[in-house]
Amino acid sequence: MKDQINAIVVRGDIQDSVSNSELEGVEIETFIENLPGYTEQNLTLTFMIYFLFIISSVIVAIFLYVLTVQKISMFGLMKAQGISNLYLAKSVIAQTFILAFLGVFVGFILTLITGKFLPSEVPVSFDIVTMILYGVIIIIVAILGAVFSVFTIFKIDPLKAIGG
Amino acid sequence: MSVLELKNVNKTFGKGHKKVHALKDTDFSAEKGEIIAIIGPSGSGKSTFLTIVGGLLSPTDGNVSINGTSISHLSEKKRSKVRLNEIGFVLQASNLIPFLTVEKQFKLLDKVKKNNMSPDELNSLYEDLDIIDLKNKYPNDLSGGERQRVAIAKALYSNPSLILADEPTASLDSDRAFEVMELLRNETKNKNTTTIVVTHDTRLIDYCDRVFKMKDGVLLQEP
Ligand SMILES: Nc1ncnc2c1ncn2[C@@H]1O[C@H](COP(=O)(O)OP(=O)(O)OP(=O)(O)O)[C@@H](O)[C@H]1O
Ligand SMILES: [Mg+2]
Repeated sequence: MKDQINAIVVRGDIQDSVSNSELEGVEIETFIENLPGYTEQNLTLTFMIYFLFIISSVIVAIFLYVLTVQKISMFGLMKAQGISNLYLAKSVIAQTFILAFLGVFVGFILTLITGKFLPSEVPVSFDIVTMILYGVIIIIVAILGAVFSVFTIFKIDPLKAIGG
Repeated sequence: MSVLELKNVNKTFGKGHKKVHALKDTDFSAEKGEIIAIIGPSGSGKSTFLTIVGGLLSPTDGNVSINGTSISHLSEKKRSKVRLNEIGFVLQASNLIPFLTVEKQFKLLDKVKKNNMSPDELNSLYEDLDIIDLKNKYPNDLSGGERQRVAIAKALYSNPSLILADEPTASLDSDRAFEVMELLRNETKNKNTTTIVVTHDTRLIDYCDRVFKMKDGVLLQEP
């Protein structure tokens, strides 16, 4: 029959076991990756994760931008008073960090709690290292978004805020 | 040395046939302990004068110095420092930050600047301006007059050498307006600072030491 494979799993060095036989020696990893559909499915999942990242970065950036735009007149006022761009930039970035950190932290906890309540038949496992890594990436992305808003703050004309 | 000195200052807006000459060959100086009124019709250039003096706008040509330091050709960064250290603004629209309580408005200044008033001085300022009970309120919960008094307190708090007030009494009834002027005058005399008040209201000039009239960008001292 076509498209059927039989495999025997062995321990130790494959070459020893397969020499002088009709069998072909393959690493387990390679075998799994060559299973029909496996790589494709994995790739889809990876793409979904990356796109989620892109989407959430855009949302976070827009959110931060709106927060800034709402406060333009207030930033203008502070600038008119002589508060430096640097100070405003630092505060915005620090506040974004706190916000993003709390967000990621809450998300982390909720994920773990959800995991606890899923029935044992659902195959989930949490890789804490990966989660932390992605959390850190999200925080970095949020801060990049804040840096973007900071440019808006730099461009605010203090004169407009006080209106002649 | 004068606190404020303007030499041959000009300001034009726009180009070509839309050009507006908002301030013409202005010479001006102000000394410590003086309160000065500037009156004049709408569009005559009063706000332009005040924003140039306050380092918010660069003159087209001429020179502005505060305490002997020329500010007309400084970068925005350096001018912002001059504003922080030397100038207190009292504006027609409130210069209070909406989501900070009255007390926190002052705390913010402590964060960005040294040499503000001591806690004792701040308390007596609260008393002078009768705003002690407003400490924990937000600007939106204050009346126009209360807001204006807090704004004056805020302008005074950083011990500026120059207080610039653009129509500080515009949103007030006349009793309150007289009170605010009285306050500005007393603070100017007590702290030996310099105050310039722009106003439409000619009744308020009695509180001032000198009065200038602005007309079509020309500033002239009234006898
Ligand atoms: N940013 C600007 N661009 C162009 N023209 C301006 C600008 N700012 C002010 N002007 C013009 O300069 C002139 C003086 O304006 P200014 O705001 O100083 O008047 P003002 O005396 O304060 O009037 P008001 O009493 O109505 O506040 C006006 O003719 C105004 O149209
Ligand atoms: Mg004006």
